[in-house]
Amino acid sequence: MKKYLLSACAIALLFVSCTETVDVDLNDAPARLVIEASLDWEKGTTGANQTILLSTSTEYFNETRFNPALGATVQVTKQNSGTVFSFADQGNGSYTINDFEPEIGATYVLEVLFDGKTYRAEETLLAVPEIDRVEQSTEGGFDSDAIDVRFYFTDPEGENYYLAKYVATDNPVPTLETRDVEFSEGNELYFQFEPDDDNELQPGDVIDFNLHGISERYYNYMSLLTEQAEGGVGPFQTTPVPLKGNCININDNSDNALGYFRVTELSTTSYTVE
Amino acid sequence: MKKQLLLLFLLPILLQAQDKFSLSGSLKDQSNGETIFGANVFFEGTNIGAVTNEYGFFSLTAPQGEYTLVVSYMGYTDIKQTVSLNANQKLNLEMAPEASQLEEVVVVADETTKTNIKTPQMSTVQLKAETIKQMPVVLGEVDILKSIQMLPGVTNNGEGSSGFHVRGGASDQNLVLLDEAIIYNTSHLFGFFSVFNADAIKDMKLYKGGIPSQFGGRVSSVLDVRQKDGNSKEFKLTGGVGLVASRLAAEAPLFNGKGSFLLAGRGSYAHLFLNENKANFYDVNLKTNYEINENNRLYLSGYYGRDGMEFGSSFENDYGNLSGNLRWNHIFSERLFSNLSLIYSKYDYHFVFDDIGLDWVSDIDNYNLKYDLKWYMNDKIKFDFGASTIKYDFNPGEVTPTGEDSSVNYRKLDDKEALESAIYLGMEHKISPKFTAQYGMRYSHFIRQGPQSPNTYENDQPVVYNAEQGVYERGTPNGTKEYGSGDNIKTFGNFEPRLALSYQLDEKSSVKASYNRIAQYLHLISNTTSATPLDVWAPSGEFIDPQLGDQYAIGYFRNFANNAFSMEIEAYYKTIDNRLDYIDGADLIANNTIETEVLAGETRSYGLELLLKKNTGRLTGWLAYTLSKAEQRTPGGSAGGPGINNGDWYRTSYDRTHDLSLTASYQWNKKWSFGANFAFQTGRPITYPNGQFVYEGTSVATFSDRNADRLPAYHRLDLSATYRPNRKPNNRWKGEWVFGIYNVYNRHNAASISFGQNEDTGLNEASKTYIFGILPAISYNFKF
Repeated sequence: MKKYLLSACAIALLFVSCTETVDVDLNDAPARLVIEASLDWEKGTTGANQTILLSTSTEYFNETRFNPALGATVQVTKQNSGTVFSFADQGNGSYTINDFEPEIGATYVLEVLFDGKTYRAEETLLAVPEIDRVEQSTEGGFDSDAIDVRFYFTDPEGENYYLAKYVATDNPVPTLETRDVEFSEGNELYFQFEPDDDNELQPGDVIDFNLHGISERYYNYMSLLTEQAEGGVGPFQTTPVPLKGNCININDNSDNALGYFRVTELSTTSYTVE
Repeated sequence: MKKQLLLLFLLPILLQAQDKFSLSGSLKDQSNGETIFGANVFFEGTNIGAVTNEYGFFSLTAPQGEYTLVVSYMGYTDIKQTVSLNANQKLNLEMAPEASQLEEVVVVADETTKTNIKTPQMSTVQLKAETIKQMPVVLGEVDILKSIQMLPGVTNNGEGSSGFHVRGGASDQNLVLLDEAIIYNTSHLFGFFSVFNADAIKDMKLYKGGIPSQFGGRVSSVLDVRQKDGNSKEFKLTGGVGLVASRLAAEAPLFNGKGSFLLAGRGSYAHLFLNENKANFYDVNLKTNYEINENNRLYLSGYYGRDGMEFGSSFENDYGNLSGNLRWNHIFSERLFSNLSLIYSKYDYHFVFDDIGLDWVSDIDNYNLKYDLKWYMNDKIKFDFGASTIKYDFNPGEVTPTGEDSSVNYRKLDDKEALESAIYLGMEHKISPKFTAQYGMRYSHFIRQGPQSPNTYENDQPVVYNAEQGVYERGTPNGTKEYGSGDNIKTFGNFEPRLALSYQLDEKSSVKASYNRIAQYLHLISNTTSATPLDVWAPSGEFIDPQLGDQYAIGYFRNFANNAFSMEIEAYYKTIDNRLDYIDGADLIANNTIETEVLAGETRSYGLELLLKKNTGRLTGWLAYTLSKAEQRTPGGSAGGPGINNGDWYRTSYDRTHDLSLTASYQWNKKWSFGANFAFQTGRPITYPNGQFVYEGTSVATFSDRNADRLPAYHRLDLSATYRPNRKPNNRWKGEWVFGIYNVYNRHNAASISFGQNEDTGLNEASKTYIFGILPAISYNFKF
């Protein structure tokens, strides 16, 4: 909702404003551990193969942005059964496992031991509906000449939150989008993909679309993340704030890890633009 | 306590002897019959004088005798006439504008006239529409709000931002009145233009501090804008054609000169932006008045303004203000003047988003009944007193599906109602020829009323601190409280003392000091750098307390070189309690429970202002400089935890260390005049990234402390030239061409700097958005 409203203001401004790339000197914060623990259970699979990425943060303009965190101990405990899943260090920042047991509604606890510090997080696996159908048109979106693609799904009743991710041909940056159902609970909904002018969809482009059912807390985290990634325009920017994930340093919560531990069900589809 | 206060007010009255008489009347402009506000009326060689009020009324009281009455107002020829004061008497006066003597070489009617060193009122600026019209402006559109930003202590948040900031206050802390009606959104097209059509405006007065007791409801400032009454002498057309908009105003006498009207319209051209997107605005001003008899006069004024926008086929949006005011001036006696006003105003915001089939509307409206009296008790004491009550209705939002295939459900956020009332008593007291004091007390009272069923929360906490993750989260509702229609949900009351003192050091200079306390019961819910048209107002209530502002100011005022120059130096310190701040990731739009998104904090601001003016001659203008700081802090309070930004003070986004403005106009000859503005400001505080990490294949920024960095400094120069062609003396048509260049040296002033990944390379970059580069403009104005 907010996004639609604010983008209207921003677009009005865009018509009279100009943008140019500039050099800015930034201060650098000390490096921190980043935990990208996304245990996603794709519908129709066993979900046994999972990867957790550990890295440390870098300077903002550093082109090498993935600084692997090596030698960590990573394990996930399934609370209802007490099963412990130990992830194996692949020596490149990724930690993997091939016998993970996903279960809708089950709660999982992540523990990471790195550099003498222990980080802990807890999350419950939430379900996601199927993607019903995909439609292509030029009518939606702000540009009535550009191709837009809609991914439809039906929201079950309840307080649900969604994360969508699009990866399109020739677009190196994935697009992330969150949605709550406050005004549309129980309806058929869609996510619409219409990249900016520079990256307009062309026939033959392939879009990989992922839809996750997510927790409210993670929804808040990702909404803030995507909003801040877009930057906002001019006076309609909101003040950026630190992103606070759920991976807690159990001894010092001023030194929590960046990133998030999520456990979700995932619907995925691939669409070729006509 | 109350009794003692009353006694203090009454004491001087009781000591007064009764062998004096009063001279009262109204003061008008000879050329068009407009009443004149703020002129000095005094008996020469005495200390007895007054300033005409908003309706041109004045009253002088003096011992029986012969006097020379002098009336002076900058831009007009002084009136001098002998008066034998041996009974109470009435005298209606008309002043001739100086311009007509000088064959239309307007020797700038400079704004505040020379600095008024005698009255205790400080921290104010009064500008006449003529002065504002002489300043160079963006795209040729004359703009009151842009012109006040050239004054010390007033800034905005950059081009394309709406509203203005006074002495470190937020934009929702300004009481903006158009003929006494509250205007909730002062901008057209997101702040590029203001809602005030200069052709319909007579004058405006900005109170930055020492706010008199008749005003209340906003903690930072009062901008009192008055529409013209309409020419009561002859039919007059005024208009103009510009690049963005055109204007036309008609004025004429009514009822054989017993009344007059003004009707003004202004509209932008529909396709302001090319291609399929449209943005436009228009507004209409109406004013009419009727003099029933010498002691009774009615005024009716109205305003309606609208902005409309369409983006592609999918998005439409429109919003605007509506206001109306019916006033009755009644003169009880030579010394007692009264005005009764019934005022309505409304702001609404509406948009349709076809893609998802959503229709959204939100609005705020209010009825205001107000009775103000002025009692010119004697030559030393004047009282202002009155009462007002405002009934508010808030509709924070209503969502309607536009059709069968819409993906939204009907939903309405809770309507809110409130009643804000106040009584006030102010007294201006000439204690000695050199020492004058203004004491005032306002008592304001606010009732948040039903019907409504607000949530209750576990532990009474709408916001809860999650200590483990270090974040503020929404509280858990555990029920609702039912309130029926007219039930009181919550009541607040505040005493608001006001005090202003002036001490005249000599004929040319004075020192002044003031203090005011003001309560503000409404909050504009906005966490963007600058307010947007869609932001909603929230009343104080169960979980949100009223803002309380205190301001102290001192100043030194001096006229020199025979009043050709004047200088004002002021220092202020202002604090505001219960200023709302927003938890990280707050969701403010279409939210039924704003209390779960906010924490109450405080702000403090202080500064030093210098205003140096040249009032007369071919070259006039002013230099304004402000050195200031504005900060905010929000501790955790009842939610626990350290607070927002760790509870540390941080700069507000409208903090400007240095703010310098120079504005000048030069009358070269009868045909040509020139204007120039120069502005320099410290860059706006902003939060820059201090690192990055990879998440979901994207680069995510980590950020430094809130507003710890700044945009590059803002500066620009504007020039304008006005050409008035030769014309025959009897020709009624008077035209002028105005040529302007905004941002002459084409500085790309940053409106923002945003950080993100380049969509082609994926690498992080910083990009600067600037709104206006060099921008020439031409417009044609006429009078008939």
